[in-house]
Amino acid sequence: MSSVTTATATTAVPPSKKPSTLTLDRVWLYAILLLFAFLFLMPIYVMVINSIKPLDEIRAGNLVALPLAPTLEPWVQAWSQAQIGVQATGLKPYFLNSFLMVIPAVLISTALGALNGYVLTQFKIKGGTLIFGLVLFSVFIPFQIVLIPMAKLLGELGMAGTVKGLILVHTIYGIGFGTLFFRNFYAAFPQELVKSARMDGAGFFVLFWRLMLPASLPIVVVNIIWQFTNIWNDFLFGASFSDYSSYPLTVALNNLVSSSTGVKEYNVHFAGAFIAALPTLIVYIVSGKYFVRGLMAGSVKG
Amino acid sequence: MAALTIQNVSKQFGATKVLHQISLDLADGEFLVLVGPSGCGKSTLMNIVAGLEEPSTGQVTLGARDITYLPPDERDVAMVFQSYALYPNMTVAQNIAFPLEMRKVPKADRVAAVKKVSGMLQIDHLLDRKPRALSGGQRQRVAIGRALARSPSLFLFDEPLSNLDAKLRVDMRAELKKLHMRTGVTTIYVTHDQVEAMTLGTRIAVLKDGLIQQLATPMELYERPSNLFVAEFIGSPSINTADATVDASGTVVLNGVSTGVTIDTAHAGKPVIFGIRPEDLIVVDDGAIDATVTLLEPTGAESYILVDTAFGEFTLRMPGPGDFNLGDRMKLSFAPSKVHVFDKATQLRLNT
Repeated sequence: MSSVTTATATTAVPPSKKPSTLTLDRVWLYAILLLFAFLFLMPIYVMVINSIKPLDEIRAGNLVALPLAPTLEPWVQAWSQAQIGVQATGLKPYFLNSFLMVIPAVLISTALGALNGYVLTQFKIKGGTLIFGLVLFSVFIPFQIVLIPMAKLLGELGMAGTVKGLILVHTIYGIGFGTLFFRNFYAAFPQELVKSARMDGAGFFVLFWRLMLPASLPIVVVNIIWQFTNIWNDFLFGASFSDYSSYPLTVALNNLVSSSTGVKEYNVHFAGAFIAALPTLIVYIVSGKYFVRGLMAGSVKG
Repeated sequence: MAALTIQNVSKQFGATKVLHQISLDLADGEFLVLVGPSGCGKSTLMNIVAGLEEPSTGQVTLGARDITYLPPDERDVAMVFQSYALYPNMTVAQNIAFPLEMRKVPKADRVAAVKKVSGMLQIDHLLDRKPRALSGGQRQRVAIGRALARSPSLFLFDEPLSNLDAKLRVDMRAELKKLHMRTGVTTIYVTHDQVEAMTLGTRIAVLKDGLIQQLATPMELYERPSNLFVAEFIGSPSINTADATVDASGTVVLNGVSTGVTIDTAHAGKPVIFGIRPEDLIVVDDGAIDATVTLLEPTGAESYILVDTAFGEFTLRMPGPGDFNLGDRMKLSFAPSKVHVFDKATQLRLNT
């Protein structure tokens, strides 16, 4: 014991100072981050602020100023009273249309993408690489090219101008991306697990349902966010293949903004635009962390 | 439980031949170890037996059935993988019951099987946990439990211990051996670890480049390796080798000195390789080999002493710490019966 204490006494070293956490580098870092945060948040601020202003205050000219007499009237207008179609229904029915379109399209294309990815990675299929290449092709085809053939096809199927038709179009387009995501994710799936399950007697669908799918949450989330955002925000297909009864929200919003007679009600437009953006925002906020994680998983080991 | 026969099995991937006409016979209850360096084809052979790959030619029979082209789940074969391959989304109990569930075994029987197996492997306190909450050794037990639960006719182990730390590996090795003695299920065990091979196998097949180099009991493999590769692969530290010649009478001559070993005079004048195991070298005053100590490797129970000789570095195995210092000079000898002689060209064993 005594030798230990003398040793510490003789070798006592003055403690070094803990470095300050606030260095010049840090200050710069925060300044730049704050600047970008400001740039990204500014448009949202402008939208929210102006959507709760009476129209006179907007006309007065200052877009950035806080409202003097805040009101929810523009939101009510945009949601349920604005003239968009034949009747003054607001965005409400089109909001519903968009959901009726986006939910089945996302679910079906995710399911088919997952199944494709599973088959392409876990089974030795003749020409599998070629098939995957062709599926990938659909990811790169510009929307405009398929407009006329698709219009013809929807006409033949009797789905022109219906929500069902839009579901079909978006599902077909979604399969390409879904297959890409799931194939890359499943390519990194441990082979031994699949072998083990096959020896244990799991068949094609049991293996998929009981083993692959439960392990695919990150990539399922990525795919859902991706498809949801794309389909929700789509304007071209919506404008081309729907009519007054089946407009998705994006097309309705366009009609609201561009075709109002008389005065331009900017506050209502801001509110409408925000309503249209809300679902994608919520999807990102709720599942954003899975999105990043899933993208990493797919990209690193793809 | 059943006997396994592998007949003339070969496997080709494109132009590369991975297995060349492999034939093996396993008696009921036997524990065969397939050992060899990576890329020797041992895992491919196991996959063919498991049904995960098809052989290019040949036949595999288990019991009275030809299983060559049966799907893996109809073979009555269970396998334990190196990565354990536990289903991450299922609990331990669900993992063990999964193969039974797939075979539509009634629930009550499944529960009973899980109980029996988990008791045997001492994992009954882990049944409700997910695999990610288990240690490596526990995962290994669960994987073995899952294989045991369906009472297969044949067990396959694919390097099951190589992901465990050294201490646990030795413990699990002993447990696997006990388990085999208790259940008596015919087993094939793949490893690249020669110690595992020696301790576990009733017989060992040494594979290299898709060919069986030797198929024998562990002791026969150690004492009478049929070629230089087997001699060098089995045993740690490795066998000592040196170039030697054969004189007209068939005596093997090492560095101008007769070794006392005679082989067929047909080999007279040909270059051969002389081999001796580290424990068969003895230090004597009148030994024929001059040696200088260059390195000491004490392991506790025994020591390995590396010495320089006129024909290269040799290793000696001594009990205890070994009473030597670096630079010590000594004379070495050996009993002729302990010498292994291999043809330098064909690498085959020449002495009996």
